[in-house]
Amino acid sequence: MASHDTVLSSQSLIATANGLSLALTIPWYRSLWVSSVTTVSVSIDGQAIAQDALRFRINGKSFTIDEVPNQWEELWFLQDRAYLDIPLATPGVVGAEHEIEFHIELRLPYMQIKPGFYLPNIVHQVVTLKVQA
Amino acid sequence: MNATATEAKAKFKLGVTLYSFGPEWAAGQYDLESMLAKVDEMGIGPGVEIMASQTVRTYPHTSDDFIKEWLGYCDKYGFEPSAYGTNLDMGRNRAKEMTEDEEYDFVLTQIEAGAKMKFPVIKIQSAGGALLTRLLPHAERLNVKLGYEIHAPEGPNTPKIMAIRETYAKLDSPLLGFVPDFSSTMQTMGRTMLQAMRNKGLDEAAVDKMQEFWASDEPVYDRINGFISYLEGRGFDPNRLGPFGRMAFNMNGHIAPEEWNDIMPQVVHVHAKFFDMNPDGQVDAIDYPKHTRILVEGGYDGYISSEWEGHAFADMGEVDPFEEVRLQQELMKKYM
Repeated sequence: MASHDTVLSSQSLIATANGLSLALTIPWYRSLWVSSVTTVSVSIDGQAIAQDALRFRINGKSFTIDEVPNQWEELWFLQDRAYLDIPLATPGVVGAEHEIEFHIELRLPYMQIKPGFYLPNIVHQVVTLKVQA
Repeated sequence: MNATATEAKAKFKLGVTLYSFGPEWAAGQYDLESMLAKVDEMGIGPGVEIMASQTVRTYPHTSDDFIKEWLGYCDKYGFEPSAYGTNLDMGRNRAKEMTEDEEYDFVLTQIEAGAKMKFPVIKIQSAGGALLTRLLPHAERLNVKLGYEIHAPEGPNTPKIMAIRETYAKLDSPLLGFVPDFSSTMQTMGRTMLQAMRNKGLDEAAVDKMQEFWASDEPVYDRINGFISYLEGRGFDPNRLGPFGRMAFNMNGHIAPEEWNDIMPQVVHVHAKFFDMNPDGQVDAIDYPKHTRILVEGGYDGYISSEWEGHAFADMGEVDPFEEVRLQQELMKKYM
C-alpha cells in the first residue's frame, strides 16, 4: 500500500512492436485470481484507449478485458507482473515520455462483506513514465 | 522491568512472518532462499511463518518440489516452521460462490500442504462450525493446530470472536485455537499512520478528533461514521483520505492487553504486530513489555511471529524492515 499507489513503477511502460505495454504489480499484499480484476482502464496523453483494444496478459496467456472476469483459475502470483497491452498506430519509442492515467478495481475474493459482495480495492494512478526497452 | 531470577521465564520462541517483507517480495528483490538468508543474517528467528497466497506460486496447491525446497532451507539456516497462513477465496468464481464442499477442499489442500511443510499451526480464515467439524479429523490425523486470528477491531471478547469461542466449546478440541495480533490491543494510534493522514490533509484539530473517536467504546462502524460526519461538517471530503480513514480504525484496536488472558489456553500462535520502533528501543503505540509479560506469565509455549506492518504507510526503501524486526525482537528478549 505505502503512502502512494505502487501498481505502476518507473519501469512499467514498455515499448512493443504495435504500441505500448504496462507492467502491473498487484495493488494488494497477496496473489489474486485474475477474476479479481473487475475494472481496468488506461489513458495515454489524455487519450482513453478503447476497452476492446486492450489485452490483459499473464502466465503466457492473453485475455480480452471481457474475458478477465471468467479467469478464476488463473493465478496472478504476487511476484509476477501482469501486462496491459495497448495497441497504438505506431510502435512505442524507447525513451519517450507519456502521461499515463491508469485505473484498476479489485474484488478481494476472500473478504466477503455479505453473500455476493466482496471488499474492493480501487487504485487510480496518474504518472508520467519513460518508455523502456 | 527486566525479567529477574524469581520471575516466570518464557516458554515461547520468537520468529517472523515473511509478510513483514511483503513489498520487497512483491518487487522481486528476493526469492525464497535469499529472503530466508537475509532473515538468518539479521539474527531473526528461529520461527518462520509464511502465507500460502503470498509465497506459494501454485497456491492453493503446493508442489512436492516447493515442499522439498522449503524444508531444505529450514534445515540449512536452522529455521523452524511456525505457522502457515491459509485463505478461503470463496468468491474467486464470480459467477458462482463456492459450495461447502468446495470451501472444504480449498482449505484442506492448504492444511495438507502446511502439515507436509512441518508447520505445527495452520492459520484459518473461516471458523464456521460446519467447516471446522469436517476439518477437525484431518487436523487430528496430521497433528496440526488450527488458529483463527484475532485482529483489530476484534478482541478476545467482541461478539464475532465470542461466537467462535462458542463453536470451539461445542467442538471441544485442543487443536482449535486463536492467533492474537497485537493490533487489537494498542495504546494509541500509530505515529506513522497519523503522519500519513496529516500528509493527506488532516489538520491537528482533525487528528485530535479522530483519536477521540478512536478511543471511545462505541462499535467501530459508529466511530468511523462519527469521524466521517465530523470531517464533512468541516467541509473536508473524507475520500481525500483514501483507504486510510477506514484503516485507521480497523488496524488499530484499543482493547486492554490483559484480555488476552481470557483465551490464553487457546492461544496457538501470536502475531507481534508493530509499525515503528522508537529511538529509545520501545515499540510505538503498543506496550511491548506488558504484552510480552502477559504471554510469559500465561505460560504460552508456541511461537511469536514478529509482524512489521509499517509498509502500510511507509514507502519501500524508507525503513529497513529486517532491522525493525531485529530491534523489536531485542526488545521482547528483555522481558522473556
